Amino acid sequence: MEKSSLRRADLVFSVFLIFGSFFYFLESLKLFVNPFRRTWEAVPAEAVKDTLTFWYKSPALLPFLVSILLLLCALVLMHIARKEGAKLDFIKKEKIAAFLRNAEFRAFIITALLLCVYAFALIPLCRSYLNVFRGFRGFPFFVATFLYLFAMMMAFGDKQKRHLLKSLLVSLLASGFVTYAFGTLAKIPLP
Amino acid sequence: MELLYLIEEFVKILLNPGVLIVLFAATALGTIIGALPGLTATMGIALLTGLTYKVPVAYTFAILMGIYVGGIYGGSISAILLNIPGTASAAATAIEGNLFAKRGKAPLAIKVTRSASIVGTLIGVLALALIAPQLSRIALQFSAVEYFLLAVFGVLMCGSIVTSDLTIKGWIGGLIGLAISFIGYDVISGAPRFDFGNINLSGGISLIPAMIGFYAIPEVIKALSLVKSGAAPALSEEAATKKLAAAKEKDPNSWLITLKHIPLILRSALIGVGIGALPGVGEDVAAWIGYDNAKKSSKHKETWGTGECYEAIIAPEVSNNAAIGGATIPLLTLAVPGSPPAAVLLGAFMIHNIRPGPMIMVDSPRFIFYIAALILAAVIALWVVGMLLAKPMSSILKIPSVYLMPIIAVLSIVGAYALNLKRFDILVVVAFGIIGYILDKMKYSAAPIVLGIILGTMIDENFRRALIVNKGDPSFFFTNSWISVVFVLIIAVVILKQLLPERIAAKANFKGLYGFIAAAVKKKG
Repeated sequence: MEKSSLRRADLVFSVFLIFGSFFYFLESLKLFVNPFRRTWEAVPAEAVKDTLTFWYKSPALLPFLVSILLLLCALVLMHIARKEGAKLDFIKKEKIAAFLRNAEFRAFIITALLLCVYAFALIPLCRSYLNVFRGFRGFPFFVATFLYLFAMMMAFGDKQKRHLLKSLLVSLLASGFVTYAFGTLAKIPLP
Repeated sequence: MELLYLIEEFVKILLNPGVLIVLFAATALGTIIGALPGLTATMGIALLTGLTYKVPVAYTFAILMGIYVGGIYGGSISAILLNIPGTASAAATAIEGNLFAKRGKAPLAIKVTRSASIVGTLIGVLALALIAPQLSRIALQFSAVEYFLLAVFGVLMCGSIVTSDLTIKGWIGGLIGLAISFIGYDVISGAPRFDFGNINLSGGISLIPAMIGFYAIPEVIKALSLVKSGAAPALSEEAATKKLAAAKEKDPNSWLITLKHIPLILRSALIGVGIGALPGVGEDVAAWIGYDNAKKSSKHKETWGTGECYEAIIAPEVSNNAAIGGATIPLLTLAVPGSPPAAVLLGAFMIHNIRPGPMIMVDSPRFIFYIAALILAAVIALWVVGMLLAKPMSSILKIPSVYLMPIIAVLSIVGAYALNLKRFDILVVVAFGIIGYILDKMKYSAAPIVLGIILGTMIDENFRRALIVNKGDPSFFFTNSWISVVFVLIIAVVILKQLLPERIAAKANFKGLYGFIAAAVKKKG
């Protein structure tokens, strides 16, 4: 990433961090006053007094400090980014469109998306509908893994017939190997 | 006495053919993992930790230590052949190593780096066997105050050193790690923290899935992004084979070349052990400092950058391999990992109910020597495996990322799920993987975040225990012991060094070792 882009990213991230540290601070405050999450009416005044007297026993003590330090660091990061010329001037239609067209960003989205589909849709769906072989419990995982691997290899490889066949073969062998080696041989429970 | 224990454990390993075979296989796998660009020793250990949790302890640690030693060495092979460091720790080796390859001397350079790696690891093992037991005896005197300060020092130091951009980013990473570590039930009061009523969060974030997420998934995304954007390095088998076969004339003996540089080896090994022992810093920083130091002290500066300078490949390889032993010293004696792979090893120890820390010499008096002996045996395995893999490596290196990386993603999911059989851990891997990639693009290193997650509990518990014992009076930081005073002073110097303007810091002479390390890392960045 170029330095100017990096500092813009730093500026945006510092804003996220500021909000994040505020949120963490507020959660810590709730934890400090009411650590066992009783309804606010059920918190006796004695307990609040005890908490204030024995503040050093509170489970919120370190989270408090961390939220304050995080806020300070976020402010320093923002200061550095702004000092080095970063501005929030990139929120423009054409700049965002250019960013979305960026090959690396698209690759990131495809990888992340396919990984999420594999982990949260393919595996549970195959587990629900394809658990048909009693002697081969790893079958749903095998199918889900094969589909995922093949989709990934097709998404990132060229579109020639040779690559298609190679991807098919590698996906089949790899999913078969992982299912057999870990699920059957090592008896590791598969997702 | 320590050396006798080490030899005894080493002989036991040699007499156990099962462990020996597993160790050889793991070292070979580690070398391949290290050599393949995008796969690192840390990722290999993280994946294998999840996948071997059902394997007997003796075999598990043979596998993990083999991967560790092989992984750190393996990076130099692709660095020399393709000018693509397989691991970050081999980046310094690539500078001169690839020039050797361009001159048709790739086999010789690989042999020299192998000898240097073996010597470096050996010195690291000796340091581990000799220093660790003494350090654990000292650590027995540590109270909650020293532990708190040690853990803070670890996160702060790691954050300050490993970041290639702004130091503040390292600190932010450490703080994010600490914030993550506070999720789940508080050990002292039993209060639920930051779980937002979600039962999956009430037990806290599991360490191994988090580490797999931070170390494996970003590498998968990065490698595939390069493929998509057409920037993936062409791993040409032809070119690599040519480089390996180019030298027809008889090469000089690599051991003689390496051992001619004994003062350099000793200096680089000391750097490796020292940097390795710093919490979370690790092998890659050690390699750069070793390289930098060798360049500055070289009597043949004119040979650097010509493809004829052995010092330039020996120094970083000795340093990064010596750092293995160095990183294991605080890991075993203080439960504070010295490098990212050691951080993952800490998770593996915990899974197998081994509690590293000062009590290790009381609970398992031989464990330190057992681990040292395993590294020693892995060195022999490295020697054999290195020779055997030299030729087929050109074929292995051509495996395209498009086939390899999706399989790594699958193994990450399987490894994370296998530990606790929780679907939530898969979510952790995916979420932390995506976050890790974004942070990596913004030049945030994963090491301080992971170290924050590991040391968060230690910081939190010991800070409050110390306050409870002293009834809320924080003056104990300065009055508890000389160790705590030293820690407080070091922490203050590290913070002041960053906060004060450069001019004032230089006047106050805050340079020293810290400034030297920071300068070397900045150069790397």
